[in-house]
Amino acid sequence: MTLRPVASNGRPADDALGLEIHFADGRCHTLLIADKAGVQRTCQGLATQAQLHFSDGRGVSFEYP
Amino acid sequence: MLPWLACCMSLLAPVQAGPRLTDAQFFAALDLTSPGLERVAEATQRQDWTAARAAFGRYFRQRKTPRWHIAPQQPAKNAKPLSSKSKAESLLRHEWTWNKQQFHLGTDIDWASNPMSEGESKTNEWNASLNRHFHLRELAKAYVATGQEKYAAEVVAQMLDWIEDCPVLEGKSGNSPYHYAWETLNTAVRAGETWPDAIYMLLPSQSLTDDALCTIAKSLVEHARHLDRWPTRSGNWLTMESAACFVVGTLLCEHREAAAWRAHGMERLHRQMATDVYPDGLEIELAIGYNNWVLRNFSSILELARLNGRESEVPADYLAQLERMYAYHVYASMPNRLVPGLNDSSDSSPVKILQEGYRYFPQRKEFLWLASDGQQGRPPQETSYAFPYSGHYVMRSGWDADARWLLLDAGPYGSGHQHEDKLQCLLSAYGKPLLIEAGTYMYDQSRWRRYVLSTRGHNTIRVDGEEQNRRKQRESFVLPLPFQPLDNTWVTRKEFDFAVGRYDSGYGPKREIQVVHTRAVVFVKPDYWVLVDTLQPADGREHAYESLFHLNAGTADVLPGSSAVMTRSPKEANLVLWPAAAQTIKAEIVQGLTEEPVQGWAQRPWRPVPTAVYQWKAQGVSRVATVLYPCPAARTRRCVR
Repeated sequence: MTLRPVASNGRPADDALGLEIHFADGRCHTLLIADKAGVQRTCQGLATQAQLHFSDGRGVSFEYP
Repeated sequence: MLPWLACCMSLLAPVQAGPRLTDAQFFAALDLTSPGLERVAEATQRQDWTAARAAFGRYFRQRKTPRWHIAPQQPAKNAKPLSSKSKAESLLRHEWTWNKQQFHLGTDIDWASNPMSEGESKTNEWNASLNRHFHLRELAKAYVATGQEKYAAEVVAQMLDWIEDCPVLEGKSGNSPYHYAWETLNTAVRAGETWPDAIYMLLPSQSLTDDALCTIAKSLVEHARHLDRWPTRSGNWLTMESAACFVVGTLLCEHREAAAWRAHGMERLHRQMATDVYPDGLEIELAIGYNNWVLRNFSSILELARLNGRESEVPADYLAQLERMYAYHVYASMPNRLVPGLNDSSDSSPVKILQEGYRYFPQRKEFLWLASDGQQGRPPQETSYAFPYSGHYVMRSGWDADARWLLLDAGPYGSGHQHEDKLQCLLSAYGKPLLIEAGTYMYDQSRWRRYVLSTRGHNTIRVDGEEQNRRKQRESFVLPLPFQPLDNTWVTRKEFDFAVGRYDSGYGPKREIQVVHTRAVVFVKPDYWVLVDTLQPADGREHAYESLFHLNAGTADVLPGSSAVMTRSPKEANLVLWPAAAQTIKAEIVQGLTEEPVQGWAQRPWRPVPTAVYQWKAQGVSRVATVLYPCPAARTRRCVR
């Protein structure tokens, strides 16, 4: 499991956490979780304003809100 | 008064014996115009108390109403004698069992005694249990089962001995300081449960003489007056006290105060439904065992009213108020069909409760479903469920026995039976609870008791070696009225659940460490969870954090070259914990520490359990993500890399 840097307005975002989870069967899930929504954040090529963003590598799996 | 004079006077004063109520006072307070009491009335008129007692005893024995939950029945004849090792035979020898230990009570029972009065084991519970008279039920049941008079004689002898030795308190409740006999909960349990059970089982017995019945009735009047005078403010005590008032008011309906006892009891119970039960169905103590005791008192009083044609005394919405309490059991239940026991409670079977709930609410097929272990009815349509007042957030993959299930506790501290456990998670998957908590322990002075109360015994975070401390923050106990939902985040969707809770009451004995802990939980359905813990100190200092996970396994280890922890239960489901943070995290497994501060223990049975302790230090805001990945027994080797 690896932490991924999250940025907002070109600066490190200290109100969010990016995570990459690798599984033994080769799957890789990425998760971005922030204190609140409505702020543009980027992480590993992802750009979102969601508080919660999850991808299983095949596109966006779910976002909130 | 001079101490020596007070001493001499107390030696000269007559020894007080119960009941304090005289025959004249007792009979004067009865409505002697009631049908069947004619002979009592005549004797009372003559002030012939011997005759009045005899007439009252005969009347009480022969009356058909009021009815109790246990109908009087003739005891068995020619039944096989009980073994000398049976509970009833032990009780005849005054061998009394408490907390799985046997104690000899002596020939003449000292109701004030308490061998648990020193050291770590110091507790009032031994004495409270003795004075609640649960053991009289065992003896009465033995009388009914065997027809042997010796059991009935022992019940009556103990009740009369207790009444004589323990005159009712005057001018004080007995709660603070504790009084062994008249503490209101002890009083209520006797008057509302154990005595009526014993009396109705013993009605056919010759040992329950007219005189004895009269003395017991007088004491019951004193019980009802004591409880009516000294109601506790809230919680399971008040419910039991109120129920007992209604019980005595029902069973001694000939007493002129009976209607008032019933009315006060019913009014208090009904009020408690609004003030002591959150709209999401859990009682304010937030401990399922106490919740169930409260619910049982609510429902048993409804039953008693119905049994005696007193439905008109029950408020119209009384039953409807109970529906949400039954529903809690379904929606919080774990895949093993038990309801998690938080605070001072063990996990609890919902079967009997939901059988009753389904009887009252036959449209609730999910009550039947859980009560029948899935054999009848149907499970709820919802899987995950939030209790927005109790602060319990339940995330589940389904209603099958192998379902993945997690509960986040982000609620108030609770009332009376609180643990410093905010933001802890419990987890069950593939047929096994995997993440558990210390549970509960005897209410004594031991290090084990301190452990189960503390943050150490729960799956949440400690700061600088200190515990959460809501005990010093009274406003955190119970939500204010009118109840409003907690300010937590809760989202449930087909693909995920998401909950966020926050602890901001400080750490340490004086709440001097001001760090806010926010825990976000994401359920990536249907397989695993991610916890994100954010620690935000109010100061610029470096703080030491300790995140705990109590694991239900024989062993667990830290995977080489990582901070990941995995339980090792052969042929059973296992759990992998995988943390990630900007800081270095030290992982350690602690199990069965016996020196204070104890760590790595859990109950049912009380045993050492491996506990993952993650430690890190940080200045400013610190975030740690932890993946909780349960693995089914067959796939344990393959599920982590």
